[in-house]
Amino acid sequence: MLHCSEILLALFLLSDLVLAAAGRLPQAIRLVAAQGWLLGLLPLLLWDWSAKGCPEFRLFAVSAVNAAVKGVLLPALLAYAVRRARVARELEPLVSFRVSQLVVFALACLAFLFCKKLNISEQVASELAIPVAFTTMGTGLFLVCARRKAITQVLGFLVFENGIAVFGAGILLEYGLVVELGILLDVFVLVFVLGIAIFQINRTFSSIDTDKLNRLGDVHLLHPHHRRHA
Amino acid sequence: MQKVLFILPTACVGLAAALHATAYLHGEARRHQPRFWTFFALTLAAMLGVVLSPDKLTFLLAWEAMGLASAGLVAFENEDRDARKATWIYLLACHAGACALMLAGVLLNRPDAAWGAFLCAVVGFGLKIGFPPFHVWLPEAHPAAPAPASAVMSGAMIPLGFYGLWRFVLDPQAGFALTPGMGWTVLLLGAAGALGGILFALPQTNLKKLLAFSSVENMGVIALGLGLALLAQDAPGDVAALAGAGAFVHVLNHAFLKGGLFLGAGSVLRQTGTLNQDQLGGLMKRLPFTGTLFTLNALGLAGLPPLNGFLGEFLIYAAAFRAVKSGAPALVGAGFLVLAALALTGGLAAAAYCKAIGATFLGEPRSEAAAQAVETPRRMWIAQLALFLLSFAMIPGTVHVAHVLTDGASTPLLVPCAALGGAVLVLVGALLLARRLSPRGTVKPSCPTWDCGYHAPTARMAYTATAFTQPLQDLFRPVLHARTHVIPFKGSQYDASDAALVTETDDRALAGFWRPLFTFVARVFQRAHLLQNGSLHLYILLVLVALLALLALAFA
Amino acid sequence: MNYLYLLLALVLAPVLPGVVNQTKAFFAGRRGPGLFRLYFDLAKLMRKSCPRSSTSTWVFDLAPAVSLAVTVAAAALFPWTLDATAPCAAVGVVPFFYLLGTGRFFTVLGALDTGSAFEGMGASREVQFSALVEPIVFVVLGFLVLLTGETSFALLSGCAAGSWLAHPVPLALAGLAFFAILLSENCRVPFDDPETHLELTMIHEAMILDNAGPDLAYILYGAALKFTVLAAFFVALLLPRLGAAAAPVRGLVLLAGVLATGVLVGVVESIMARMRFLKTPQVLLGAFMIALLAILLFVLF
Repeated sequence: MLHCSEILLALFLLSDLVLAAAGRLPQAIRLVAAQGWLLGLLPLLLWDWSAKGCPEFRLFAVSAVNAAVKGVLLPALLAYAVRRARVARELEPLVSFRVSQLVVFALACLAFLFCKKLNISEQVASELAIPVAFTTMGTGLFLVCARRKAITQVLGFLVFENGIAVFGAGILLEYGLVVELGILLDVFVLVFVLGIAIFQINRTFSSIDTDKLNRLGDVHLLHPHHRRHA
Repeated sequence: MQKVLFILPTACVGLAAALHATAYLHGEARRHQPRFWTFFALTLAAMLGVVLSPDKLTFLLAWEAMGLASAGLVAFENEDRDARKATWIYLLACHAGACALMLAGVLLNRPDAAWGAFLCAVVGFGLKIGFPPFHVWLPEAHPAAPAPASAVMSGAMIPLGFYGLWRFVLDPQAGFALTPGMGWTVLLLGAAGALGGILFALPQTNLKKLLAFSSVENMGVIALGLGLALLAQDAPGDVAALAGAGAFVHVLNHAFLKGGLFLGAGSVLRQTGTLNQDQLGGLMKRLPFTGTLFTLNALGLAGLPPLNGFLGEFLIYAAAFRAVKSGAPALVGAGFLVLAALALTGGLAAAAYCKAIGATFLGEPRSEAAAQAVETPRRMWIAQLALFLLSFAMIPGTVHVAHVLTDGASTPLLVPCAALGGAVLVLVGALLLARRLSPRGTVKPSCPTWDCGYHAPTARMAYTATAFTQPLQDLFRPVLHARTHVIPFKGSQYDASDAALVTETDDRALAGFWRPLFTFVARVFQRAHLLQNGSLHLYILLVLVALLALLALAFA
Repeated sequence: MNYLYLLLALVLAPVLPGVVNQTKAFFAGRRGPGLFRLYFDLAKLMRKSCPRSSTSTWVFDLAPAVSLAVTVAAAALFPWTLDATAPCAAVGVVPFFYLLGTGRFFTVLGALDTGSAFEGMGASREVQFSALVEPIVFVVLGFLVLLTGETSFALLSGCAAGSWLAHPVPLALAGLAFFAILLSENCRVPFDDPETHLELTMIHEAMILDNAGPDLAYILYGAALKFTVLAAFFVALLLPRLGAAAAPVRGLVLLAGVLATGVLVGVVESIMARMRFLKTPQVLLGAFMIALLAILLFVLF
């Protein structure tokens, strides 16, 4: 069982690496969805079945909610936003994909060294969980900084949240799962709002023809404080 | 043993280069020839002096003589502006190196200045070896010097830097206390040299410049082996012995192979008048002996079995594997560094030599000069052949030398490897025979190249040297900083035959390190210029002040 | 016993491309050319003549024979019964991979010798990808040395004891990295498409446009053999130790694993498209990272 969770965490690391190089939005969204599923499985695999017997109902519930929200609901929402907003497939990253991958790898190295120093192996369910959590959080924040499209930044934020969730699952806090559910709610609202915002911005601007858009720009350029007064 | 290892290449490459030079210089005005031979003989004598010198003082004297004499060789074609520039850079490098070495000689006697002595020795000898960023003179001086001179300098002279390092600090009998930090210094310099050298060799269109950068790479490989040996000197097992043996064996192998390659490049230059690979092509038909020997030498130097270039690298790999196996954190790290650096270097070296052979000797000629070329006088390719045969003899030679250096630890590795080479040759023969015996197996060149339905391929359609390396060059653009410019077509817009794309990859160390450094130094000394205002009174005052200061220092 | 299985591998090598093709045919709902198609092709090619471009020289003439010879030599080094004490296996893995490199060197030179634009293009791409693959290979090998404490072919976990039980995750990552090497070195999707018919998108196939007759047979057989050898390395890397089993059983398990690898490659080719060339270095960099990650996990945990 322990090996299963380690393989799962290694998959998490791999998904971080691939995510850093993912050029197409649907691919990136699928990766984040996969992370959601992994996250759903993680508490069940980290549970010490032989010693503690069958876990409470709460654990199953959290797993199911995690997988449903992060593996299905949010990715579906984002995919919908991508489809409706017709965002270009290729990203134009601020940091190139190759360098991104190197950065994520460097983050992983740092996380592993840091956790080696922390020496927390007694308190965690899996030694791998904490460095993976840090790496995932770092990857999420890095994606927020290094990508240009709003939708990828939302993705980055989701990845960051996944990292927190891995951390919560890894240290098996008594109330960690409850706190985690609270954060999940926050993120859900945030992604929902961002998704709607992206969709609305896109709809508003695509309904105005380009002439008007240009004039808007001109007005803005000629009268810098025009908008403020308006 | 080390003395023999360094004398052998000097003598052999020197003799072969002399034979080559008798024909190479044939076209030169007669009155210039004595100048070449004088400097050539002086260089060889000084090199032998370096190896045979009994103590450090004579070593330094011979070292300085070697630098000066070889500068005369670089300056041989002194009507050429590039050659004069290269001579200046080379002389600067020589003297800077000599300065550092004298300092090292002084510091070596002080036990509290071990690091200072070590760094001075690394800088001083690194300027000859071509550790980055001290390699700047290599890609300038080698293309400028006559080919036989480059062969001696690249094959036998620059590895003498390692001999110097050995004499000064590395030799256990020198009594110098080496720390792991020093091992890491050599190792990292080696990794930088190997990777940097081959990365810059790759896009060069000038054949001799490519070979010069490849020398930087090979010196880097040797330094990788030496660095690993230094790090592992106290470790149990045979890591240090194998790595050191690999490095020294590579010195020998590189000498013969690179010497042969430079002689081949010289033959190409003499027969076609150019070294620009984009202007060459198709020389294998026109210079069959030169081309074949160049190809075989390049195969060896790319580190591919069954030729001898592989054996040295194999020993270093074996040492790196054993270092990883040992489990000590520093050795594991060093082992992985050596593995990754050596592997990437090997892959890129194969690419660079494929390009050098392909663009120079294969395909169709891309210029009139290449199309008109004929085989060299016999002496020239016999010199090349001699070096190739020596390098071939180095296969058992390497096995023996490594056996001595490692007390037999390398023999179980190298003997099957050498035997494998024989097996490959037998297999090739068998396959060729099988083809011959197949029902319609006779081979006759009869048709033009199949260019996918297009029946009249020209030399302009073939991949040039620049095109061949373009993907790798793009990939490593952050390192290489290649400059690309398009020569647009001038004539009819339907005929683009006068258009071209030219890529130049200059040495980054010159533009990125040395030029800013020298500009900075010049600016600092502009300030000091205030003191030199021509007033005698001020000068006397300065002397007085200096005297007083020294007195104060002495009695303080 | 080892040489008997070497012989078996030499004989069975042409089946492996057949397995891949049959798998792909199954996915595409076709009947496929059959497992043994390559044997018939080879027999046919051996009866044909070798027309030769008038541009070419001895390099082109020699290249197919040399690249096949070194591949056979590499195959002879491999412990086909997973017995690391086999006489050749002690030489280690470095000559094994470098011999394959010699083969590539000659194939590339042969391609350049024709002076064809397309073959130059293929050669240029081949050296690029192989130069990037090389460090991945040796980092994976270094990892295996670290894992098993062996430097000969015994570093394959199929030969050494207990690697899967002790370190499953790093070993799986190393296997993944080596799978990328396997696909790239053998010119399979997503790095190269062996079935493409557009010269501009070919790598390996573009280099051999001018070869025909026995030469082409050597090249095709050499490619199949190289595929078999690397697949065997891949299987031996992942296989748990079979030390207790008799040598014939181990050899048969290995060959079965090779065929299974063929099926795996066929599945990958059926569900993936070939990547753009510009994207390939990115994937190889990813594979390199994965190999380093394996080391990181092993060293720190």
